Amino acid sequence: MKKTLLYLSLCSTLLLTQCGFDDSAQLPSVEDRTSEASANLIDLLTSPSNGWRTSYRPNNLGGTFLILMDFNDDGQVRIQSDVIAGDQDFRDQTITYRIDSGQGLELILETYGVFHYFFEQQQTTFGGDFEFDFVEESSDGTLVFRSKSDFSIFVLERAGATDASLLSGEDVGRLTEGNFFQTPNLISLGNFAPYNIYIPNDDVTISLTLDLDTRRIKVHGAALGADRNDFLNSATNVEIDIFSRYTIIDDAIQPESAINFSLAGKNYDLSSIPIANRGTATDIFCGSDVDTLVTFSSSASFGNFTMESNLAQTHSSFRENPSGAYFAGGVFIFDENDDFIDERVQAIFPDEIVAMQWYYGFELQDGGTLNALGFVTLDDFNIAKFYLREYEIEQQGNYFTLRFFDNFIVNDEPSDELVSNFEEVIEEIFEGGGVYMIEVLSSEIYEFYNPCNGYKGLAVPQDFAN
Amino acid sequence: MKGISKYIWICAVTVAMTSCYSEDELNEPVKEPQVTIETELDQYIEENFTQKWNMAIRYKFVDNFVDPGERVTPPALENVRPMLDFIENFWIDPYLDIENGEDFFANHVPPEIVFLGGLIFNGDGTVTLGTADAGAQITFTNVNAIDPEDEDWRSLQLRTVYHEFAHTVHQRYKLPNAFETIAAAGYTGPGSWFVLTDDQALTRGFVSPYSTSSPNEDFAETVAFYLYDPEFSLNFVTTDPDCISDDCISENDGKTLIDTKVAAILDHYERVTGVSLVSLRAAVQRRL
Repeated sequence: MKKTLLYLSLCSTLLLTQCGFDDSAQLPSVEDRTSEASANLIDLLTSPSNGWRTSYRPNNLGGTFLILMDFNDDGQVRIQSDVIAGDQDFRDQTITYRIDSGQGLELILETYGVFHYFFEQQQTTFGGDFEFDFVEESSDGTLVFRSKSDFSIFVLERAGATDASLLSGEDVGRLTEGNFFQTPNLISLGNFAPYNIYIPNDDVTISLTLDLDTRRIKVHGAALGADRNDFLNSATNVEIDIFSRYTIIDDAIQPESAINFSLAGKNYDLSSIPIANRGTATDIFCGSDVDTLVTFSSSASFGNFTMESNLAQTHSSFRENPSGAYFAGGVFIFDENDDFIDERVQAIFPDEIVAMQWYYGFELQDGGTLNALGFVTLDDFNIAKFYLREYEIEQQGNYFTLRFFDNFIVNDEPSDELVSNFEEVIEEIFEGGGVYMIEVLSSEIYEFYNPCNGYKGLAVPQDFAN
Repeated sequence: MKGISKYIWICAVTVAMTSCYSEDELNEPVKEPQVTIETELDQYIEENFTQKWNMAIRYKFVDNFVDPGERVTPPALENVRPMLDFIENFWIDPYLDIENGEDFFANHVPPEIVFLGGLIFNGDGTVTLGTADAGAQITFTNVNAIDPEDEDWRSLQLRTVYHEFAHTVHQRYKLPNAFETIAAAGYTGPGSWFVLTDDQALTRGFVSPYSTSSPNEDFAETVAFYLYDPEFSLNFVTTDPDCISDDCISENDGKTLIDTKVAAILDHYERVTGVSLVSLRAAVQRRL
């Protein structure tokens, strides 16, 4: 018992000694240390005379954005970028920031700016962030942060005196005007715009699509000819099908991967595509309706050129799908006013779930091929019914002409009224007989656009839908 | 020897644990800004909201204003002042126009108003339009889309603020007597209200599907709709005297229940707060 008491006594002494050995006797208080650490980081952020620059990559799928940040000690930071999104201009903003001390020091961009815009994209799944944990000051003077939401690294380098001149101007921001055919309802799937580069000295048209949100470019192909009919029918053409992330520096699109090809014995290198001298042109894609196109004119290593937003592209990756259909749920078809037509489709098939189904080159068990388009429905007992109309198809570049036959493929005994309504809505969607297929780069799906009536919708490969 | 080891182990663990507590403070979030700025905007907020109504306006991002998993952005600086003007014009000023309104507002106003730039994106893919926290905080979403002339945007904000502000009344003074019995059969629940359509809610005697989720939400939704919807009577109260179809008769039945609830709410407000919702509705409608 005495020993026990002795041990307890020793233990208590140890405890008391430990408790009495208060760190605060030798260290400043937690609040003081936190405050000092925050002040030191603010000193670091505000010290460069030209501020900081970063090549910001919100996610690894997309390219980078050159952004300049100039921190002031009054809690405000000037942020310069080349981002213009619709009516939102993020080229030069001053917002507020603070340094928090949570698990460590945190840089919080407190009011809305370009980083918050990235964060919001694709229903906040895009990958941008506006809260960053401070990691370290590297030996080369860069400041390393880590995104709080996806832990990606965010590096600030000291900006040079002339770096602001590398930021692209309004012309680049207006690239988004090339998406005139795209319904705002699809905006969460990306901001994609098809362009054609025409090189007059070589009489060559190069077709590409830009995803302006993710900064990805896909060059589809090239062909001889300036006019739509010429390049769509030219026998001298090459499918390129090269995809790259890009950045925009000094008013030029700069792909991260090499984009080279040859056509008619000449090599072309699209390592830099300058964007300048914005203008407009007009074209008629169907009937007498005139569409206004945005144009840019400049000179590059491949020669003088004009880049024009255009529905028509020399090549398309929309292909026959031998193993399945392309789907477009009723909610993903829109009329000329960008209104959903799902209610009209649903009215034909009351009390059933409806999706559009587009078979293109589907291999049948008997070895035949099916080209048919229509709807599949599902009733309360999960019984599927098909209402398909066969067609023959002709492809010119990314323009697909569909000629529907009168026969239907159905596994039901539809009423005359249903057949009539079904026929009517299909003819309404494909009025004029053809659609342009435009690849949605961020989602590996397609938008079909009818130039005759402005109807548009998504075609989602069955593999993707699954 | 075994005994010594045992006590030393206990002692060492105790010391270690005791030591850890004093260090925990290092990990506690410090959310107050270390850099404070006194801008014209901050001064305006201080004078017109904080000092006048004891109401803090939070427009700078702080992550604990929303639940973990909710993904939100702050408003743009240039939208803050117009949003302040909006809530003054459409929320505060109507109370100042009516008898007992100023006292009521001053005594019931939540201490914290949060502005968010966009909507609230939840981890499950859903989107939350507006939110409040037990009378302590009202959150305005989609401030960056501010357009008081846009009926959809304006309705979202007014529905949110009048709904959340109505909660303070039943939290402090309870619901009107037997309120929950008026349309008792029509309530759904917090997890199932969203399967109803607007028409189905109406035939049950409710102004919206959400109002079927509980008597408290029913109270708040009915107050909000009553105050901001210019066509409230036509949409929710006036019955069709020439009803023939079952649907029409069901709708009339639902409207009659809503009318009964509105009468109970008007009486309750008048008695416990001294505020006439009829006068308040008129003051709100004058501004639309």
